[in-house]
Amino acid sequence: MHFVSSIKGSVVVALALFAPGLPAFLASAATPREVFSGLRRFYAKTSRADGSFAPGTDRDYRGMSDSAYSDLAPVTYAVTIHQTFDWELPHKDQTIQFLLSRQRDNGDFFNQAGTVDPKSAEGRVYNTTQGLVALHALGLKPRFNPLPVFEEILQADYKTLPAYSTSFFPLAYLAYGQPIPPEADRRIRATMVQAADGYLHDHIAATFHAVHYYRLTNKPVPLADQIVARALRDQKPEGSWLLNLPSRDRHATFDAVLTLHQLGHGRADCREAIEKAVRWVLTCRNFDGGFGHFPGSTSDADANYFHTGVLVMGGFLKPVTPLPNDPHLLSWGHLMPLPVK
Amino acid sequence: MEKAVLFINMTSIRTTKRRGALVNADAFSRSLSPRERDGERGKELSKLRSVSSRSRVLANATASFFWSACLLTTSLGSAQDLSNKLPGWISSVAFSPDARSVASGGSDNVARIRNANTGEETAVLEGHADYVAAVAFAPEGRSLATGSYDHTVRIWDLASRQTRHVLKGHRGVVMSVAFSPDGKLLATASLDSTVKLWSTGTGRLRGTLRGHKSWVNSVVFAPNGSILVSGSSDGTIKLWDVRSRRSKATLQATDAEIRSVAISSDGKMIAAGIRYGTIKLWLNQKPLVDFKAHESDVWSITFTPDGSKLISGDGDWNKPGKVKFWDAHSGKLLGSFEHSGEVLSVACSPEGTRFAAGGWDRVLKIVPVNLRAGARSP
Repeated sequence: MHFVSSIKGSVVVALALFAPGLPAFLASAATPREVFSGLRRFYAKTSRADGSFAPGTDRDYRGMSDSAYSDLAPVTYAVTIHQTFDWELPHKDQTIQFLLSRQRDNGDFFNQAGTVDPKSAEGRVYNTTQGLVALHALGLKPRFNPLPVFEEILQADYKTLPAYSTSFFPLAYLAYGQPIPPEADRRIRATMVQAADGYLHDHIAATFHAVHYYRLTNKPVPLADQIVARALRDQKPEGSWLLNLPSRDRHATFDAVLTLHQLGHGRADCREAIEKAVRWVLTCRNFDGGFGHFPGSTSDADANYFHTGVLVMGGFLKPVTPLPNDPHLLSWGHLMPLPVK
Repeated sequence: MEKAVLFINMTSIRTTKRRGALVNADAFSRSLSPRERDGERGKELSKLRSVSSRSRVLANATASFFWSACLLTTSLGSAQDLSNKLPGWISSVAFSPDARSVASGGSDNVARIRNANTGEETAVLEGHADYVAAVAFAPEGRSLATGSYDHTVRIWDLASRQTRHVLKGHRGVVMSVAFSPDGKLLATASLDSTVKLWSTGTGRLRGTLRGHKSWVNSVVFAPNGSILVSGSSDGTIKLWDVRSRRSKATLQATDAEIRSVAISSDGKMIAAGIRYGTIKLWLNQKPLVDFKAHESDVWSITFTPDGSKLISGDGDWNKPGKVKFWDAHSGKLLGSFEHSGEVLSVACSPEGTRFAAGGWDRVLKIVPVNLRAGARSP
């Protein structure tokens, strides 16, 4: 089976090399080895001498979603993927220095490129969490205590953050080696109001972050069965959760797969849904080795992480054995241990 | 994770109300039950489904009710008890050239044609296997083009109500479609970063325009048909020479994604609706003005037929959107209209006296416009 797929893949690659007019996507299924090879090719092309990573292989590509939002995102996601498979970063020492250099003495991590304002509450929470996650994955501590950033935002600004920000808080605290304080936990949980179907804000993104939040804090997920039921119901025939405008659902398939993976307890219908999602994700792969957010989309550092996460949770790609230290803190939970029912 | 979409503070969701002279019929629209999966989504029916008598009665009743409120509001969601084929959110709206009909496409995989005066649904065009993201009438008014999440484009013959051509070639969602002024070409824009040109007569691909670095979200022809304008998530607008298929100019708009582009009737002004609420205007390809126009993404933008005004629609997740009217030269706000849901598409009628708006709440609104005063209730 893999042999046949490999031949098909080789033919497609050969066609691409000799027929430049062909689209830059791979429609056929790939083997895990081909996916690994493509990812490493993508990271080799996007790594920079200063240890950072570009959002895509084209110099003029500005990124999409997280990779357009903050120039820390491609770095954290590259670190996460490399740790997941125990790959050596192209410029590991420089990557560490890059991450350390992006922290101010008040604890804030900051972006220099990207659409988010690094001084905004949203930007501070995002960048500081991403910086902490990357450093923790590399076994390092930041130069300055980052927790005052979160303590300050938890005074009031947390109420204005997007609903997909909830699990940033316990993730950041844990990545710094501490559980989220009880009062902070209470405040964030008060914002996570679920509908009868278990969803938050009628969208899988906010719902996923609530699931992620409860899993990080080791608490049962309220209305878990209802969430699973809707996530299963919402999956589209081709395997994705592209239910809204594409710009709204760039991470939706990852979000749904993690939700089903964590809350499905191995149920057959959840497994089938995840397998279908895996097949869809493979249609998002491009000739440059990366993944676009959707079929035909430009390969992107952000899409690479989220689609690779789906492939890991779906069992298509095997992570390193044994798993890296604190696997549950690697970005958005693709290596998070499953809960005990 | 996804940005500027979801907000924690649900108390900020506003209830609809009268605002100045504007009448909002939000109170009449009903919220629907959660989306249900369409068991027939995958079928390639390629035919027009006759509208059931019951839905027609509902449509007529709904239309007359709102017409009596001097605001035609057609609730696409009011038929939720008819079948499992619930109408979905509206991604695209367009007036027919004679202004008698309005087409809409959405997440129920079909394009719908309605009488623009009565609201009566006159046709449901089935055939796409996934959401319909874009609709456009041909200049002669006898054809409709639709672009879909299923990566295909369809050209429909409105007399026979059959698919004339299924255009295959895009490798991603087709976000926008536009006929050339002479109706001979159709331009299509996709998440695969390309614009394609098709012969509307034969359905054959005439060219693929490459150059954008990311999704192409919007495409429109200049009035003389020689230039095509495309807007992309790469933050640029490209002007393409239609004959040579080559890029003539790239307008660097912003660091953020361009959601929608429009060109004025004299071909001199280009407008872009941009993520995070910015509108930017160019005159003769030179930046004219840019301004923070909306609180959230400008999903749709269009010029009035005389080119003097702009109409833009915005939306943020689960919040009422706004349609705003602007002086196209100064960027001065002339009026606004609050929609019951986020506004994903706006269109101005050919005579410039009405606009149509549709969006997430599945409500298609057609609002009479006094362009001097902005939107109004007559």
